[in-house]
Amino acid sequence: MSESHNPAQQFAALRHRFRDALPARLLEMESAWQAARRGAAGQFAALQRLAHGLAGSSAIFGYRAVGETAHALEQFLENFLTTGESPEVCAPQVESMLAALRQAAMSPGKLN
Amino acid sequence: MKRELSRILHVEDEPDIQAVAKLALEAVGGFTVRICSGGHEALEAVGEFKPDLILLDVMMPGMDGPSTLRKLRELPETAKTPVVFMTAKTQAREVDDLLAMGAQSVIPKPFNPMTLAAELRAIWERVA
Repeated sequence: MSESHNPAQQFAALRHRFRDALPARLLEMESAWQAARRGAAGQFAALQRLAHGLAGSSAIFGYRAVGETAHALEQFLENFLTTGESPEVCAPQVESMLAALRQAAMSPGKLN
Repeated sequence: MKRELSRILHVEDEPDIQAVAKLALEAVGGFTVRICSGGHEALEAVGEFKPDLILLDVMMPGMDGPSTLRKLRELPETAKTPVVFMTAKTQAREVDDLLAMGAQSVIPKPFNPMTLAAELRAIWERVA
């Protein structure tokens, strides 16, 4: 099958690819968070970068709920990183936001 | 007669954004595009690729956008190349700070893939 040269169709294909990859991205974020809680070096910052990436991608593909939640998580982690405190201190907030992300991502094909 | 905008270097670490921008710039805009995943890669690419304009993400791991711009301005081949930042941080003061660093414009994220090419052409017309 030849690839469509219609930009709108190509964009739609990229959007579908993003949607299909969402579960894996969320799993990666969960793994980074669990590693951060275990004290693994760099995982807190890694989670922040993953949230940043997800926020940007979600926004461009129109997944507003996912994007806004990911952005909120990114901002929260960015601020928390400056405190130097243990991840356990912010665990309730992070887990709440990760749960909100999972919820937002559970509406396949829901675009804003 | 002013030369047309033709070659764009896009510096962006997020693969989804890379793919959408490539679509926007190549398929919609007809530009010749090189994509680099970070500042160091961009600095290595500019000598060979010779971009007319550089589209530069702000938040990147390692060398961020502002640091990359500073290094680009130190290179003879890109000392005067128009640079356009792309960022989700678009408060007025944040935009002013980015322009004060020497960028010619700031495009907010999320960008519209169907109009990005036209936006860059308009910037080129203004600054080149």
